[in-house]
Amino acid sequence: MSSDLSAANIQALTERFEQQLKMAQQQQDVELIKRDWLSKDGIVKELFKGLREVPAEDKPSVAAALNDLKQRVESGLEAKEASFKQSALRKQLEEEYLDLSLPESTPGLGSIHPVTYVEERITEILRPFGFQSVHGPELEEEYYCFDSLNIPKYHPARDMQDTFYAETGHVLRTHTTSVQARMLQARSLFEGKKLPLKIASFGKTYRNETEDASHQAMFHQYELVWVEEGLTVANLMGLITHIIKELYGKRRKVQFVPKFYPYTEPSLGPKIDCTICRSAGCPSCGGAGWVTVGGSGMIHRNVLKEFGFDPDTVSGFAFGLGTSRLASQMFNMPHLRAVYENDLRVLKEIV
Amino acid sequence: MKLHVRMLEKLIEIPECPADSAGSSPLRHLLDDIGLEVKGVDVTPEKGVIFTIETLANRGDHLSTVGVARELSARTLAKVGMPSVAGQLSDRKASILVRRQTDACSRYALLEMSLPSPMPLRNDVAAYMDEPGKHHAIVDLLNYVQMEMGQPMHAFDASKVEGEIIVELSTAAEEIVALDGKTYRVPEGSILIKDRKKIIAVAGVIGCANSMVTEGTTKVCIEAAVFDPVRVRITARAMGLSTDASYAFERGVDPEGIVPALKRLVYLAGGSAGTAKDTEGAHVIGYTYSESTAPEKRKVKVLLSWLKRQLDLPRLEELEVVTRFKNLGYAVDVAAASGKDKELSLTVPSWRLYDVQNVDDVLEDLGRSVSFNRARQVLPPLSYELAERHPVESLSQTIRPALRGAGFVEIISRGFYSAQEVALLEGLSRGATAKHVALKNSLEASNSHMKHTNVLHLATILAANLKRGVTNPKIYDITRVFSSPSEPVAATPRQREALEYDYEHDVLTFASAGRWNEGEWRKGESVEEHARLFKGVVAGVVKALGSTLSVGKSEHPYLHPGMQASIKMGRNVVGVFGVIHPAIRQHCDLRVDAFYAEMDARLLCKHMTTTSGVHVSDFPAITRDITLQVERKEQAGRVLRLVKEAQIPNLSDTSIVDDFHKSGEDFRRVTYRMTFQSAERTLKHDEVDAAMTGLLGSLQEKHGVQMAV
Repeated sequence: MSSDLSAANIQALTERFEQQLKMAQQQQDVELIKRDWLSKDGIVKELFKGLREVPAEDKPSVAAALNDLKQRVESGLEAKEASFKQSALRKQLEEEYLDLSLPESTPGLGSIHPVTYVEERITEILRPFGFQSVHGPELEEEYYCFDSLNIPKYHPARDMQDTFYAETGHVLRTHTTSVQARMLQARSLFEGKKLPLKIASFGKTYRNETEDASHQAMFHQYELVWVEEGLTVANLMGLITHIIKELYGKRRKVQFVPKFYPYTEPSLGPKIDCTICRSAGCPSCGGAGWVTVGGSGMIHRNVLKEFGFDPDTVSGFAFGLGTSRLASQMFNMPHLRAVYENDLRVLKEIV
Repeated sequence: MKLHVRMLEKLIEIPECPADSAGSSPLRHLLDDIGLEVKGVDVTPEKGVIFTIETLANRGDHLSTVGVARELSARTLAKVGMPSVAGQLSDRKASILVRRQTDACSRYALLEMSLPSPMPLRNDVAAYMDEPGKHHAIVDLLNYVQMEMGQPMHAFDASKVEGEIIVELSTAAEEIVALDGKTYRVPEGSILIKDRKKIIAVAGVIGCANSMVTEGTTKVCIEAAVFDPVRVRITARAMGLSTDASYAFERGVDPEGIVPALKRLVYLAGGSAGTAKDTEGAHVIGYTYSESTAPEKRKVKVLLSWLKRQLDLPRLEELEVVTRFKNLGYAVDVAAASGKDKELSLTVPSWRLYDVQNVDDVLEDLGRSVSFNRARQVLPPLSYELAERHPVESLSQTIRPALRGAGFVEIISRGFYSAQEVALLEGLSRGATAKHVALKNSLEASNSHMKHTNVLHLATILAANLKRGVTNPKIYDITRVFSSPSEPVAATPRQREALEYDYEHDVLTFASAGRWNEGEWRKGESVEEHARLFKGVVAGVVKALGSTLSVGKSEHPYLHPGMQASIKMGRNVVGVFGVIHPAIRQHCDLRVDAFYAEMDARLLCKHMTTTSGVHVSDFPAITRDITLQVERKEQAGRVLRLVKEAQIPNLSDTSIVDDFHKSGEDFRRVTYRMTFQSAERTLKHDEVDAAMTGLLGSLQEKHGVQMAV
């Protein structure tokens, strides 16, 4: 090992290092050069050991030359190493390949049913009005479904509601208005007829039909009841129109036609312009360009009286929106059956 | 009801209704807008446009062209030109005596006529008949007058009526042969029309064959009457019949409409009263009329201001209001009320006595005639009360993200199943489950019972979607299931808890089949892998509800006996999950294994909590793995529960990291990983080893758990 610390020797060593580095072809060569020059007993360490014997007046210049050599060795090796790593990475990247055009694998994003979507939207729209959300039984007592709602046993109005009768003595509720009856009774019997009464209730309703594309034995309604002093027909229509416009946008047209429901007077049927045909007339809307989306009206005085409310001082309105119909209109489903077909190819895409 | 536009335009000026666009014509829209909804349109060159109208159940007066014309008149303010009633009834009594012995028939008129033979049908009448010439011309005339004026009438062959006509209530069930040749059983309490020997008609429903008019009939007795709507309805229902007459009587016919209808008939039949028999026309022989009481003159008083306020039409003029009411047939008196207000005293027309009772009814009439769409709409005031959500709605909102994120699609299943399906389920459960609720009158065999589980429905929907090519159907449904309670139910009203019903409750159900992921073309998951993925969703739902999933043994009859577990939130069993029973799969044509979970919404709501905060330790954890023997058909999760119950200090987590079964052995080797971690300090290996020794000793001694060799 040379301990010649003359400037010429240091210069020669520098040149030797640079020559070795130049000849290095791979990372392993760099490792060998690093061992020769920078290890504990490497050339650079040995040269620094010889510094002790250098006269004091020469030490600064010799030390500076050695430091310069050490720095050149370290930076040269570092640069060479980086260069090899870079080319190795380049080579690796050239070889590696992933075909991302192959199909993805995912559990997919689920969805909520269009009817649920409509129910939740209406609930949100109604939130600022402070409606209490309640549910009621689907297997209902005739009293709540008919008798208390001003539908006597032999009134033709019962024809409107082809009813399922259960062996338990119940009926399957034909409308969510039965929840209205239960809540009016509860408010009357247990809460001192406290007003206002504002309830929202949605769920399944049933009609005993022979089923086809446009007739279903089961469908959904969203019931809303508001009992307070001073409510008018104008309020009823205002709230329904507000819901429809919030659901479908301001351009959606709403109209009201007279209807008959024994539990309301006056009774109104809200209609919207048909989405499927854009009001041109199609089988979905019976050629009329308009689709009835529910039933509504001012609560009949006989219903209020039945539960102990004075119809001369208290008024109220109620409506049942057909959420199945609203959903079919919202998602361009041409017939009601499509709402309940549970075709995942459709449902996954809708909401 | 069939509405002939040609007949209507003879009575009133109507909006345009071209044959080629009748369905979207101004007349059609006007009819819809006044509540006479058009349900069908027929157009023929002979008859022109015929609308099928859905009339309202309380408006018997709409069942005639005159009734429709009146309603249009109230809207358009055009005058109604009533059909000519120039025919004369006779002053002479009918030769057949009439005995009206029940007030269920409040009015009864009998017109005796002789008829020419043959009697030709007028062309203008024939144009409106479905099958002109099929019946005797007098029958077609009666039908025509009903179509025009709304009064149902019936013709008896006078030669077949013996002695007299008696109107009475039946005191026992009777059997008759009707005009259609069929035999019917008529219930007790029906209004019957009889002669001295036999029943000749069931009042308001149908006539009997024994007195029917035939081609050879030359003398008839025309009956025009008013029958009690409820009696007619009960009778018609019991007989399983709905005729044009019964439909009208059930909804109420005009008590003052009998005489005009008979005069119209006489006019159209070309007959004249009391003259010699005309060779071309019919001839009135006699006329008898009997009534209980004169129709009520009902008055409704209403303030003009109230009507305006209800519709928010402050500028509605008194003159307009009065005119519209008059066009509807009301007699109107106006009197001054307080301030500038006016009180209208409205005398209800006879044809509206069935439905107009009070101010709400006349408000509806005004709204209809003005058009509700003209009324201003006013949004009611907002509320500062917080809207209260139903617990099941809150539950649904909480769990939906967990299901949606796992790829589950919400479906809506039907509420029913068939008797065959009930038999299948009862066979599986061997009577151990709750009693099914049967429906008595379902029109569809598939709707004969209410479901008490959702497994059949979800299996069917999975199968249908697999057939549609959906490779990874994953579905969920929050639905109602039904069963009869074991205890009798109290009949008195109760303020029930929000989720408590006697015969039904909500359940959260979800199911999957096929592959787990979509777009996967490689081999699908094994049942074991699918089970773990499905259980992950169960755990996700439970976690969303603020709890941790644990499972236990279960014996649900609709799941595979060896592939199911109960779902627990903490220690509370809230449901069950597992592989759908092969018998159900087969029934639903579901050809692959499928997983199903059913959770009781009441219990989920009860045990649902919200997370108040999370504490994590920054000190290092130490883990120890141990492999234990678990019997082949035992739940490895049992050990997890035992470890948890042992309450080892600083044991922060226990999990299963391997499950190995060597063929031929009756046990499995299950590796459990115990993780120890303190929130306050770094644990030492010695203390962890000591804890493990204690735990293993406890498991071996108390529970017989063995280390695997």
